[in-house]
Amino acid sequence: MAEWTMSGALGRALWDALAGDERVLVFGEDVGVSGGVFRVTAGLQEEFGERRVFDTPISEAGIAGAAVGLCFAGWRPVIEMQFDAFSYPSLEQVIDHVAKMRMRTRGRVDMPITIRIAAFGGIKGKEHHGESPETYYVHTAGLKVVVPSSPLDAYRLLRHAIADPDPVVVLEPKARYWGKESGDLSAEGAGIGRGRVLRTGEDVTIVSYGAMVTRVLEAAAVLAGDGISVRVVDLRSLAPLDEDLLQRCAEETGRIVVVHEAPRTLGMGAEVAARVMELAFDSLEAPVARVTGWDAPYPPASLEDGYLPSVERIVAAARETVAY
Amino acid sequence: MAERTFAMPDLGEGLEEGRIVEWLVAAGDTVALNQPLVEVETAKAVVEIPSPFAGRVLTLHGAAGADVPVGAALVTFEVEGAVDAAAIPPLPEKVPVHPYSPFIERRPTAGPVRTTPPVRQMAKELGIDIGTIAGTGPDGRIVEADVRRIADRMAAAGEGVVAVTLAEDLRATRLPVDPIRQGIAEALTTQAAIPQVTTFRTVDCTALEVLRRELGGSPLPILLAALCRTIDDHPLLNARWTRDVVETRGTINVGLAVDTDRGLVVPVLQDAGRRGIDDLAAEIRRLAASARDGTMQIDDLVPTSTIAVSNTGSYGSEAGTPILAPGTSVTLAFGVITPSALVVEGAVVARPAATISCTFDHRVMDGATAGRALTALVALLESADRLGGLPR
Amino acid sequence: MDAPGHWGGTSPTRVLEPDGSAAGDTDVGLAPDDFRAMLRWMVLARRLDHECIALQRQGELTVYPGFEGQEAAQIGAAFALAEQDFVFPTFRELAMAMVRGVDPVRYLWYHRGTWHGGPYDPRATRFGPISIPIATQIAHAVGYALGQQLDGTDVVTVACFGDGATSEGDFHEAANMAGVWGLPLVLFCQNNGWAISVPTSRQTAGEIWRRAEGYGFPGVRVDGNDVLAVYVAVRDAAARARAGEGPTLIEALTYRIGAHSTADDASRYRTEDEVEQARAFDPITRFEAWMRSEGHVDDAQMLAWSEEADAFALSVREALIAQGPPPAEWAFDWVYADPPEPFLRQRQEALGG
Repeated sequence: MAEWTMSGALGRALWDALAGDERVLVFGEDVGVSGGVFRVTAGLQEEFGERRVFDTPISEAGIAGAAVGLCFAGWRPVIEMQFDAFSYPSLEQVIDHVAKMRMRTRGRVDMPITIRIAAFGGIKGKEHHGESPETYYVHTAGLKVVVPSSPLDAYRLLRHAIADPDPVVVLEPKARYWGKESGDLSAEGAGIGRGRVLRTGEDVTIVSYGAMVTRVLEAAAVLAGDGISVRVVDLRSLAPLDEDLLQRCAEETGRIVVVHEAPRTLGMGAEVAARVMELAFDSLEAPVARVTGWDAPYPPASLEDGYLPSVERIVAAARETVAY
Repeated sequence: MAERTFAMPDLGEGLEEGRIVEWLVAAGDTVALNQPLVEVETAKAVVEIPSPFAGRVLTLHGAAGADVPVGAALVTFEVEGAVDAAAIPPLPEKVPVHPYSPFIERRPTAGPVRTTPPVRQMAKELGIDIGTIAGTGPDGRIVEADVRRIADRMAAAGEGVVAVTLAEDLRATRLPVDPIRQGIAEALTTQAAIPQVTTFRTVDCTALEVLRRELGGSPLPILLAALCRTIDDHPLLNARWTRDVVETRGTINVGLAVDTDRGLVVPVLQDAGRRGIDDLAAEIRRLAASARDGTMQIDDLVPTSTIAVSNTGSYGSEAGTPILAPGTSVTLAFGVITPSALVVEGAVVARPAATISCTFDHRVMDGATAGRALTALVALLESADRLGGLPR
Repeated sequence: MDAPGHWGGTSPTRVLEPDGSAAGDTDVGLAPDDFRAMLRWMVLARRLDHECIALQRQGELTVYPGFEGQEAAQIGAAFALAEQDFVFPTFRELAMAMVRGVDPVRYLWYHRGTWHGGPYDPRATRFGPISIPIATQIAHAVGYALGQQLDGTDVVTVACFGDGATSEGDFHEAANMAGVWGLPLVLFCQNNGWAISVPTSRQTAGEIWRRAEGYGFPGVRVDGNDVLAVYVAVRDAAARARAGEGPTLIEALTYRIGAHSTADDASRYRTEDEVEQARAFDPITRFEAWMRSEGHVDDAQMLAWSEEADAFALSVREALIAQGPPPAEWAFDWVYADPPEPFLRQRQEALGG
């Protein structure tokens, strides 16, 4: 059985998508000759040529805008935003056009664009290299947003994203690019809109996504030592949310903790808490707890550990929720 | 031909009004499509509005200088074509409802309820207003056992007794049965199991009538004031039986039996012991009126009283033997005041008199205690001096 | 009479002088019927523009951006394109849209508040959706042109924008990419002198057409009120693009006779004298004068077109007013090709289904 890093699995997904559909294009900054700063696109240009895999000027708005025009011409662009904070110049194009163009053309022009963004913190990066931009995208009607947490699922989600007829933002957790997982890559299985249960439990459900999933699993092991049985949910898809899974977990465990790196205010935790209230209020035995990054800019590398949700913070929140 | 009204359009983006600078046409003019009608100034610009119709101008709405709100009539025309009449949907009718529950432990308005969603849901499913339950959990939180307690009481009360929930009642638009009648019936059936005894006294109402005429109105406020004074010395009149103790109440709340179209209602006159006669009179009027027109608030119905008063004289009865309402230990019934033959200082004289009956829970006190209290009340009511000393 | 201030500097190319006399060789490869078609469209377009302003004043349209004065720029450019070519417009290209075959009633659904973007079919009409965010459509044109280049077609893409758009980052990013990749693209700027209230002189210190040199492709400055000059400039730029020689930036000097939109009061920032002066350079007057001198039109023809224009405007009015609000489900129906379940639940909630 092969062992995959997330970077390698994502690259393989691009490879297979390029091989499977000749209208798929891969472009962005440094994705061609160099193979991408996180090596995700390594080898693609050699295999598929400069016509299908190419470098662009440093022009995030231009990249996103060109993707819109390419869709009018029947192409299926996969674009890369090199770092989370560098995606912001493209927000006007993404919000005004990528997300809305299908509606604006009354369904005559689909926008099958995949926007890959190296995102989130945890790599002791420079400033503007550790941001969690998911709320901006999740809040934009017309977009779908996914976040893989492991190599095999990264492959699956990226294949689904490229195949999707709607624009999909794929937030790739930089901290997990080099994490390994053994198994066979397959696009089969749960697609966009479905979360997955990574650990079963009865007392409390901890919901997370991206790089935080690993910490949540560690916290669950600690809590098991206390006799607290934790269910761990990897959301995978932030837009749309897997409402059925959230409802089921709330009904079955009665207690929900949400963990994410993004600042607390209007983070995914707010949406998860609201959905759970709407769908399963009468099952809640305790308030939904949020363990999140702080409402402060992402800090320098030396302060990063105090910003990101730690195993200790997750364990404490789960204990408090169970004792409520 | 038909009339068409042209309304002030939004000439900018989200403007609210336009000011008429100058009319370019007059009533009676025949105008062509797009012929300039009027010059209008908005917050954004001065613009000429062209006519949207070809036809005759009937009315110009507003003189030069007038501000015309966007959407308000600007010009009425006579044009070819039909007019649509917009039907205004009628407002839904509001039907007042009257919450009544024999199992209210707490006023729903006493502040927010602390509980968890599953407990709320359980109460809802059982038809219990969570706001009427007293919580026994941490920080007064209502827990599952509290809901069970009410549910058990409801079950014990038997089929047909519904702990009507406040929320449901306020939203309800129809009542399949009369809940007051039903509540009364069920409550009285339950109450019949309580050992209750009635004792009677006749009161010489001469002094009372003098004071009543002086103050005007019903004798009931004076009777209540006298009762409260009597309770000070005879606290068992204002007490209740619990399984382990007889609890004398710190506050004198008095239930008032009010006859209504829908049956007997017993609103509670709160804190009667601290009120003067005028205040009592006002409160009695308010409660009676709201009980009769069905606008009573739940606060007025929460059974916080252990003593009740029935003015049976108001409908001509000479005496009554009321059944104690749930939670009530004493009910006094005042009969009608009529000229009676009384023996005063050895002679038979005609005096205004009434019969007071006192029905009491024999578990709370025995006949001698009740008799002494009633005697004290009668002595007070017959003394002009002491009646005059009651707080006004 | 002086030309509008922003026409100063480098002289624009011209086929006709502002008075309608020939400035050079008027044999631009068009037949008299083509000239007549151009003039007829200019007359119809202006009449419809006036009708739209009236409709807005009557509450039948939401805010409407007029294009009076820009008929030559739009219609000259539209005539220069091949059928397969694709235009990405701004929000002020109704004249160009009509010539390209877009049904004006469908187009005006946009301003009636019936639908966003392109109520017409952009693929069938080869005319992109109306684009409000300034300069964003230039990047779409770059992407479309890139798609044509990758597919090896002979399609030319035209990006329309105004003088104000050249201050936006998207203009730069798009123009730069077009230069780097040598795309079959015509960057068609109608410099009408005003970006709402800001004159071109406050928008940019240089001449817009000169920007092209920095991006590595040619730029031209054309009299945008000379329909034949615009025709020639766009035709030549399209030919370069089709031949694989890359993009061209065209700065068409024109003038916005009306306010920015019906919600704007131009008297707050410019004088009536300036507008009157600009009217002396009116594109229809100029072309009509030349056409009359050449014997291509006469009074009877002009009167016939004027009557046709009135009937045309009335028919558009009636068709628009007959258009009620669209069904409520339209607010949801095209947001996703594969709508997610939570979205469908909201749709149901909204529609009361």
